[in-house]
Amino acid sequence: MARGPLATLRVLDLSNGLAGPFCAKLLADLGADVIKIEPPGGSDPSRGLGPFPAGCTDGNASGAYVYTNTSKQSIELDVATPEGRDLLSRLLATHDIVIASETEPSLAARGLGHADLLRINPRAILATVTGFGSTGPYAGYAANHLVNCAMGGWSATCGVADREPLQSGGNVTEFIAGAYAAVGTLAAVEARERDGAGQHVDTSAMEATITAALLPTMTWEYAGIVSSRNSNRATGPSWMMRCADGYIGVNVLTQAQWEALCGFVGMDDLISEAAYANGALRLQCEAELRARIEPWFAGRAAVEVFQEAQLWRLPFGLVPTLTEILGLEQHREREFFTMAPHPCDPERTIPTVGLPFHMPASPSSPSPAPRLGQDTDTVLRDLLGLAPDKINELRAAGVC
Amino acid sequence: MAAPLGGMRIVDLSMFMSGPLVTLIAADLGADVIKVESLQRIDGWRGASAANGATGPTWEGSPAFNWINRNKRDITLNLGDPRGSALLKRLVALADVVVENFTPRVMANFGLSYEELREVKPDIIVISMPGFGLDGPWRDYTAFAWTTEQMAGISHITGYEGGPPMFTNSTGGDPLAGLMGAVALFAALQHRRQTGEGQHVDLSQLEAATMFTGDVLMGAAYSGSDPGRQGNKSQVMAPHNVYHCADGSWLAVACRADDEWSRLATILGRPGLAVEGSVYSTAAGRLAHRGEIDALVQAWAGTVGAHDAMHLLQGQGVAAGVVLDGQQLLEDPHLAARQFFVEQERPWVGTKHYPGQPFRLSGYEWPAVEPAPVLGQHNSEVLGGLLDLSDHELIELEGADIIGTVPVAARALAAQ
Repeated sequence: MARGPLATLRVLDLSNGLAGPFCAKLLADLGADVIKIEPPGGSDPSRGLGPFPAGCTDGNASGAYVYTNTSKQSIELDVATPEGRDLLSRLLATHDIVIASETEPSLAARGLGHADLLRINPRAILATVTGFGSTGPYAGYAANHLVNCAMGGWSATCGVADREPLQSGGNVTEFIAGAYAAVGTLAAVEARERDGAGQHVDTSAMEATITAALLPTMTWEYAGIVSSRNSNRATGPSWMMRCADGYIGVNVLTQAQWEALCGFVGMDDLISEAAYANGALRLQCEAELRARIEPWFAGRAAVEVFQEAQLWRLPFGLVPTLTEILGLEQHREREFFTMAPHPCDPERTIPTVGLPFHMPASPSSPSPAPRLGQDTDTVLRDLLGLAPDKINELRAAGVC
Repeated sequence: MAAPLGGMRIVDLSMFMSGPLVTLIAADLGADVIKVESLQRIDGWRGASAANGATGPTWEGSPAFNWINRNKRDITLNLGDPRGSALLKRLVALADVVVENFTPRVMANFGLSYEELREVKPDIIVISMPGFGLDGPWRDYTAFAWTTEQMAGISHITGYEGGPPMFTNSTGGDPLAGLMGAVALFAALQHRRQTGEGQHVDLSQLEAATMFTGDVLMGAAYSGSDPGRQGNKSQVMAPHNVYHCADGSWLAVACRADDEWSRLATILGRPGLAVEGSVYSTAAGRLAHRGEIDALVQAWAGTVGAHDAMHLLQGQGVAAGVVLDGQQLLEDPHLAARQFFVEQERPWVGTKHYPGQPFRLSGYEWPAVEPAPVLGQHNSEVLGGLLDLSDHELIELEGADIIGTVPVAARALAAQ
């Protein structure tokens, strides 16, 4: 079994929700030994987020949980109790990277701040990933993807001007925050290789969201313009147009691509029209332009348009449904989705997102998310040397 | 304390946003990033300047370019010329990492395949990040930010209920690819530390973007379920929407747990809606009566200012946030307290503020910002200094357009 490039890292994942667990998942999928810790009975709200298999409400099968906890071990341990706290300290001797989804001051109030961890292990890295970071006036404020989109400058420009602002679909900003937390954690690991000292990595979902939005802040800073809300099109202009069987992203960024588009749809005469001479002019009359071009797409199949456009070097995009994504030819050929056991039905397997890159010298692939507490006994026995009697005693006392 | 990537050298052939985001993170963490462009083909993001009101060369005023290339050095090299690609190999021999985001055939055409680079630096780490990966039937297809956003399913689930798919109006799939590229960079460095081996990382920007919809894809994987476009709705929370406040701003409110609802109901002046027996007292009840909940919150929001409302709700542990625009973000007191935006003074555009990094390391101060380099700014520093070329050789290269500071196309335009 390949161990992956991060096989020497050992992590305690105290986080819950989406961003923190995704951070720990990225490390785990690449080979890090990650122990997810929850109090007995579980506390991670991702078990309630779904999506669920039909007829199954087992929290261990919630899609949000299954996706963000691959390749981890799961133990139940109440770190608020003195015994639980002691066992956590002992785990910290070997597992010296801690991921959490509350602010550092909030952890410190529970005796789990970075200074507390450093007293136990001077190499301890603490990564916190929260809505607004561990410092500043909004530190500790609650957030989720909807709030991230609002506070991070996405919603203001997503949607159309005469209607309400929109979140983007899914939970993209939570995962952006989690990915930045993983990058920050790995940066702290690099620094520790040099000087042996563990650091606190403080990641803010609001800031991660602003960085990925980028343009609203830059447009204000450079031009003093507040970007408008009109995400039914993009610069170029680019549109999502209806084909016979779905939508296609007609992505036209450069002048050369605009001219290629005109040729592609058999309307070369548009190139010489003065009203369409450059991107800014075209954007001013994009509705009229769209009306002229859109009929060409209506009778055609999206996949055929996509592939034909690529021959013209036009970076069109399919707009697949979720089920269509699972079947995309390119994913199949690169084996991006791997089959994993269905969490409710041992007879079935389900396609699961793999790693987004191949590392031939250090291969690894995700293993399925653990059921709550499935590794409690193994970890307490093998890692901490607890006898079965002792484990039973702790269990009876509600510690594990 | 130590700069996490101090002493590391990265040769960066990538353009636009995905690859340059990997090297922005590395540069901020102390790596020596040498960005390579050419007079024949400058970074396309130099032209991404919708908001460019600055004077000076058109290729030096792009806010996006100036953001993502701070703390890097810039050289020009015509890699289509054997003298240019030979110099690139000499640089790679002195480097730890190469990053590129061309379609797969380009590096091979330059004579710069992984195998050829490994000959000059056996433990080199090459991170290739084409749109669709290095193999498979779509390997030669081109993609950029929106292509990958669309094909990862983000567009399909973004938009008003019953309406068409929409752009998110963020920078799409590019930062998603960049983030996964940064993870790959650190992973490859760890592997090299353990084994002494470099490797060729094959990153698909489409797969990287799809990592960010992995949770919703689970529904399709289980049973073909697909929420499609749901506006601001959540499958599990109500209220979960934006509300129009008295000052004209919008406020996002998301409420899941019953105790949060109880406190929100009190703020709304309707504490009875949270007591046992009320249809609204459970999450399932609130979801089933989502429209009425929205009307209640909207009625209250219409009487308060958005910022006041946010602080009031957050003070009671209810997730809420104002829909902020670009100006409000640059003036936001929280971001100011965290010194999120960093100042950069650059020729022609002057002093501007740009997003810093969304994470902080307690033991590392971000370096003083070196402005994004102008085209070819470090030609003599890098080629003369690092590769020891003589002034005479540099002049020869300039005469052959292998290096220089003015794009060939711009020079041709000026000559007309």
